[in-house]
This record gives sequence, C-alpha cells and structure tokens, in this order.
Amino acid sequence: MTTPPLLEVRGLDVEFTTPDGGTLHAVRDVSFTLRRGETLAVVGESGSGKSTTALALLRMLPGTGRISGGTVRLDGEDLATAGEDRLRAVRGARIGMVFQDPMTALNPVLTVGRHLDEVLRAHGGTDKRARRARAVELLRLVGIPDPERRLDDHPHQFSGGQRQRVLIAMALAGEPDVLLADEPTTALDATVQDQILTLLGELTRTTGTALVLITHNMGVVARSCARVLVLYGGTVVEDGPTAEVLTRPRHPYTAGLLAAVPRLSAPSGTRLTGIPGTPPDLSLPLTGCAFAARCALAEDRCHTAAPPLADAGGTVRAACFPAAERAARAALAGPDEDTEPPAAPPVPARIDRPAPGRVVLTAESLSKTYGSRRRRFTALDGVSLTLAAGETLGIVGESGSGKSTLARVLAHAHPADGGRILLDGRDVTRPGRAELHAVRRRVQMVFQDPYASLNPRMTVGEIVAEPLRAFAIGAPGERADRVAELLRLVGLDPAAADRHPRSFSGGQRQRIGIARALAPEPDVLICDEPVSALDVSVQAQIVGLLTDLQRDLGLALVFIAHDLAVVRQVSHRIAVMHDGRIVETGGADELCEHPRDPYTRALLAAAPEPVPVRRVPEAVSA
Amino acid sequence: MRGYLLRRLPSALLVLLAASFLVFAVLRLVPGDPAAVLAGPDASPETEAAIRARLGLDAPLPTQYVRWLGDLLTGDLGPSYAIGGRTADLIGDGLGATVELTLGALLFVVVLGAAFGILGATARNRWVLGTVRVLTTGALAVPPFVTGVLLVLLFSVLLGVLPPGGRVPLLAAPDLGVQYLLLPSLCLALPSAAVLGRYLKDGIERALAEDYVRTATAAGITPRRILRRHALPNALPPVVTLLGMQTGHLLGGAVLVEAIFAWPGLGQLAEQALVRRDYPVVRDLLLLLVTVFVLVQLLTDLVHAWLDPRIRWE
Repeated sequence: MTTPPLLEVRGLDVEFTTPDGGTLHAVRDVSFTLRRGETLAVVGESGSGKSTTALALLRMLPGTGRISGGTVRLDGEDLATAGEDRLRAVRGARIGMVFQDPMTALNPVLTVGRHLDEVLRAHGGTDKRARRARAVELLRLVGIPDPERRLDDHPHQFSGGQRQRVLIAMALAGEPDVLLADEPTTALDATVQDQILTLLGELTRTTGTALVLITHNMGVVARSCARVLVLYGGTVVEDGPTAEVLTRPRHPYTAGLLAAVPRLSAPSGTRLTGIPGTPPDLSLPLTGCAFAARCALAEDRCHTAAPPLADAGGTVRAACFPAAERAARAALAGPDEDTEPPAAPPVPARIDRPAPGRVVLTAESLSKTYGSRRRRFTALDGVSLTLAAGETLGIVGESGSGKSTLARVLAHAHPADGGRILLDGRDVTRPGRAELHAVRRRVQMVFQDPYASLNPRMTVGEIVAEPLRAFAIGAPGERADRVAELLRLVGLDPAAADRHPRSFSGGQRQRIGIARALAPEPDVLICDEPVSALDVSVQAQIVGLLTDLQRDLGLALVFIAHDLAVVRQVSHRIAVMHDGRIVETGGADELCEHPRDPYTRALLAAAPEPVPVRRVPEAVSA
Repeated sequence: MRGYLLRRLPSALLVLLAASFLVFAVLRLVPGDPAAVLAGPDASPETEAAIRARLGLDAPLPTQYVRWLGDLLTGDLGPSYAIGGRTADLIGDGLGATVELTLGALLFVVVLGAAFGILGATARNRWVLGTVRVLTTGALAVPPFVTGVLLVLLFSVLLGVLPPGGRVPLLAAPDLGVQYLLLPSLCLALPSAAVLGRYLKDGIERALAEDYVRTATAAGITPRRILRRHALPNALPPVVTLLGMQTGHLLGGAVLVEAIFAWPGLGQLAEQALVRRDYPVVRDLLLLLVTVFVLVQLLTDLVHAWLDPRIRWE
C-alpha cells in the first residue's frame, strides 16, 4: 500500500578537490527517502555534509564539488545525471530552496516584486499582470502585511524575518513538491525563528509540500519535523521518527549531541556536556565508523568496518554495530523487553565555583547613540549594572538590543555618550591616554567570530604575545614562555604557537582568542557571543574552559549571548536587554523560572527545546 | 531621485566656483605677463602698458576675476590674445570636434569594455579567455601614439579602407564623418576599454559568487537571465564610477590623439594656446575641462543612485 517515494536518494557520494589536489569526501553513501507531505529534518554539525547534501540534490555544488556516486531520484527521474535544462525545470518548480542568510540571499538592487516575478517568469508565467497578482498573493501567504505596496520595496527596507518570508515566498512560487530549507532560521532571533518555523509548518500542512529542514539545532528539529536524519562526518548515522530519536537516541553520536544541547530548564551552574575530540578529517579515506574515534562505546570492529544503516529497534535505523546488536537482542526477548537504555548520555554535572567577591566593575546609566542628525539610533539607554570578581553576568537580548554596544563601551572600544563606568570604584568613563591603557589591560574582550577575529597572517604565538608587547609585559625573551603557559592554560599544545590560525578548528581558534584575552592578566573578561559560532559539541568545551578559568583566576565575566539556555547555565545573574535598555535583571534561575518582564517571557517562550527534559539532580545552591 | 539631484547640485556648483578661482589664481600667479608676451621682446614699456590697459589687465585682480565670471555668465569671453578671433568661437569650433571624438571613444569604451568584461567573466572556452586576456593586456600596455600609428598602418596604408587623419563633421556628412572618426576614437578608447573590461569582469565574478545568485539558480532561472538581471546590475555601479573617471582621461588623451590624427579639436587648440601663451584661451579651456568633469561626476552619481536603490536612502 506504500506509494512510491517522492524523492529517493541512494548511496550519494559528493567529493571536492582541495587546492593541494587532494580529495575531500564531504558526503559518503547517504541514502534516504522522502514521501509527499512529509517533514524531514537533516541534522548535524558543521562539516557533517548536511548543506552539501541539500545542494547536491539540486546539483548546485559550489566550486570543485561533484556527485561521484549514487542516485537522486525525483519521481523516478535521476537528477544526478539529468541535463542542465531538466535541472532548471526542477529547480524552483519541483524543489524549492530557502537559504540560511536572508541578509545576503536577496539581490539588493532588485525590488521584492522583481524577485518573485523572475521566478514566476522562469516557470511559465507569461502574463505580466497575472504574475504581479500572484506575487501579491505569495507575499500575503507568507504573512507580509500590505503586499501590494511592499512589492515595489527593495530588500533593505525589510527586516531579517521579513526577508526570510520573501525567500520562502520565492521558493513556493513554483508550487514545488519539496521545500528544501537550509538553516532557514539560524541567522534570526529566537522570536523571529519561532514565527518562521510556525509559517513553514502551516505552509507545508496547507499546501502538502514536503519539507526537508536542514539544521544544527535540535530544538528546531523537535519543533518542526516528523522524521529526522542525523549526519556525522558525511554519513547518515541515524534515521527515524523525531520523537523516537530525540527521546531514545540509538547512535552514540545522537545521544552525545542531545546531551550537549544546553537546556533552558537546567539551573545555573550546570556544566554543559560536550563530545570529546574533533570531527573526522574528511580528506582521509574512511575505514569504519566516522564517529569511532570519539565514541566511548567503540569496539575494534567499529574502527575497521563501516556499520550499515540497520534496524535499531522500533522504526529507527542506526549505523552502529552495538546499537544493532542491542536491537537484535531486544527483538529476541520480545517487544516489552526493549527497555535497555541505549548509550545513555552522562548525567549533567555541576560546576564547582566560588561565590562572587567584591564588585570590580560598575556601570551607571550608560547611554550611547549612533548615526547622523537625520537618523539617530539609540543603542544604549540608561544601562546600569555591577559585576563582582568571580561572578558571571549573562547579558541576553536579540539583535539590535544593544548588547554588543554595551560590550564595546564596557571594554572602552567606544566611548559612552553619557553615564559613568567605575573600575574598583574609580571613575574611568573618560580616561586619559595612560589611564585608558591601564583600563584596557584590566578589561579584555573575547569576540564572537573565531575566524574573523584572528589575523590570518600572524602565527598563534604572535597573536597571543601581541597584548604582552602592547602592554610591555615581561622581557621580549620571556614572552615565548608566557605564550606557552597561556596556550596550556586554554588547553592547547604550546607547539601551536608556530602555526597560523587557519590550521585550527573553530573551537581551537576560540581558545586562541581566549589565550590572547588572558595574556595581560585582566580582571574582567567581556565575552561577546563567544560560542554562538561554534557547534554544540564544541560549545560545551569553550563554556567549560571559561568557567574553569574563572574559578582558577577569579575573573569577572560578562557573558553576552542570544541563547538563554547557555546563559542560564554559565551565569550567576542575568540581565535581559531590549531596545538599548535592561528590562529585567536577576539571579539566573530566578529570572528563567519566574520572569517578570513580558519581553523576558516572550524570549523564554520562543526558545525551542528538544525533548526530553532531563532533570538535573537538585543543586546545592548558595 | 529628484531630491537626490537637488542635494548633490549645490556641492557641484561650489566645486565649479572654487575651480574657477583656482584656474584664475594659478594662471595669474605663474611667471609670464601676457601683455609682455603679446607685445613682443622689443616693445617699449609704454606699448606694454597700453596693451595691458586694453585687455583690462591693469585692474586689480579681484576686479578682473569678477569681470571674468560676468563674462562667463554672458558667454562673451572676449578676444584671444595670440591666436586671433574670439575665444568663445575658437573653443566652440574645437569643442564640437572633441565632443565628437570623445563620444565616439566612449561608445568604443562601453562596447569593447562590456565585451571584454562579460566574456572574461563568463566564457568557459580556454581560447576565448586567452584571447580576451591578451587583448585587454595589449590595449592597456601599448600607448595611444603606438596604437595610433599601427592602426593607420593597418587600415589606411595596408588595407586602405579608412582615412589616416583629418575630420569631416559627423553631422554634416554622417557616412564620411564616421570613416574619419573610427580610427582616432578607437585609438583613444583602447586603454580605457581595457580598464573598464577588467573592472566589469571582476564585478561580474564577484556578483556571480553572491548568495542571491545561488537563490536565483535554485529558483530555476537561466544563467543568461541571472547574468543580465541579477549579476550585471550589481556589477555596474563601480564600473559606472570608473567610466566617469575615464571620461576625464579621454578628454586628456584627446590632446595626443588629435595630434596623431590631425583632428582639429580642443587638444590642438590647447597645444597652440599653451605654446603661444594665449592666456584667455588656456584659462577658459581649463575651466571648460573642469566643468565637463564636474558634470560627468554628477551624472555618474545620478546613474549610480538609479542603479543602486540603497544610495537613494542614505
């Protein structure tokens, strides 16, 4: 009675040629099927091959990418070998695609109406007036108010969420059977993400379009898709109904990934769980399971033979020898016996951390405005806060809330327009040259993007030693020793000093950034979204490092993030920012459990949580 | 758009006023008294003073400056000192020829530049790409006085299809005029066309790598249409700016090319006026050049704003 699948991917292999002539196996032997109206999440971390898989389906691989094996059948027609003309007839008409960054995915010089018109025109819309009417209809469908008028506006006149709606409208313009959405909400704020996911859900339900949602966010998976495909190192490691996979993950990687996701329900002081090790090097041939090197349950055969995707109990399939055996044992024992907890994630641990000490940093009604006379933008509006030694103050807010401006003003990267900043009780709001130097030494920053914030032409040693030189700390001969010490402190091999940032992963680069910030022995570390560019399994390592450093060095941390769950776990106190003001501040647990401000409530409600909620053993809180 | 023009206009006028002052000041401050040159080396001081009085050069400098501005507004620029005739007529005669030459060259710049740029960015064939690269490098590297001679050698001497020099006004006899115009305007255009082509190629390549092109590809839009409707509009604004600047180069380059092809334009006039120290002609030519430059810049900005909606909202 099963209808043939709409989309059937069999043994898909994708390779890239690296600049030095090597081969990168980005996708290896990926198979899955998609039925009409189905919602499938493809989840994985960076380098897992999820976006490459999506692009391969449309044969839009960038650069040297090529499909080196396998088939992609859409209603029986193999797209892997189809000609360009056929592909163009599929793109937009049978398979619509939505990309990650709505800020760059729309052409800045074309009106939104033209964007839609181009798609409609490409798929047989010959009558100009009919196309315009359809464009209005599409904008209305995706919830853009006043569509007739907005049609003649350009992308920069829309907000990020609205641009993503426009992109969804473009993807739906050809009435496709499949909507491929590649991280459609990653660049958006939580409340906007919530709206977009709701929209996608409604659209797929009402139009019967099948949805393939590519994401790294387990919360998004839980909220949006009936089925989930977990990718690791370019291979499918688990495939099954979302509820099953998220509550009883069969593959150790899935289990580890789920455990690494910070839970909004976990109280302040909970140590995040990461996955030890780093993802596999895709330029090496793969023998055995891609996850074996990081897996606690790995056996000898896991390193030598690739486990096939096999039944792992229920309707879930996993590529794991131990999981398959467990399923086989359970099947023999009968359906009721399948209760053995597979690859249980470790129980979350508590961070042991001292109580905060004396106040080091105080801000009193800081204000900051940007822009010209004609257009003023108030970034900070009467922001006051205190920060004690050994304390972590979490600052949460959406884009444009002023949290990054606050970081820059506190770090004296920008001067405040009004208000006062006190360091150990001394007014340092408008320091003189010498004083500014002293203040900067004591207040250091860790930046968001570990790729952009390290100079690619300097070696790691030069990067970490730069503050030492700038603040004339130690004799030039001794600095190499200090750099080695700092690198060890952040968990890197001192030999890293001779290499360039490009040979390090995102997490390692963030460690380098932290070592640089620690070099002048600051009292205050201002971390502006330090983990938001990192994968969840790595995020835990960096957050753990920051809290360990705080315990050992007595650092006062300002931890700025948009992810409330991470902030709750690392912070003693949280301040919620909105439109340049702190709308609510309080103890981390208190604020998350009993929010008073309506905006805090909205933020909490919008954060998607993966099921299930694991209760943490009751904290012995001070 | 009109608001944008109105916002830009005052600064353009101000630049012109400042330029007029500079032109006037520089020419009066450099050594060499026009009256002395005009009178000749053997003339008595009285003769010189008489000439000076006749030309109004004995009035205080601010008065002379204001008088000149007044002349500019009425269009009556007075007599030339050395060449003979009225300055306005001399410039008017040359202007037609130079505008014709420059516009012809501009047409070549746009057509050849677009061809170089689009082929260079989108061609897949190795031979096409190689040819484009060799042609652009050659056009950029070889100076006009060499290309001019080569063009004359090829088309006039060897093939005998085009005249080697001189001018027939295009408006008077279009078919003949074009024949005279082709070689000098091509010679003048080649370096600028190469520069423009390089910029356009880079711009198109950059635009084609943008996310919005990926969006358009995923929507099933054809590569040809993506190039025309999505990539080109984004690649053009910086190229238009460059074209505006190149127009200045063309005017400057015209002096040389006019000499090669015996083209009776402003370049020839400027050369004569400089050699014979015809002060008012040099002065008014300079100001004309600045005015053209300012106008072209204004036009460039307007086209820029028309191409890129974000600028209009700044």
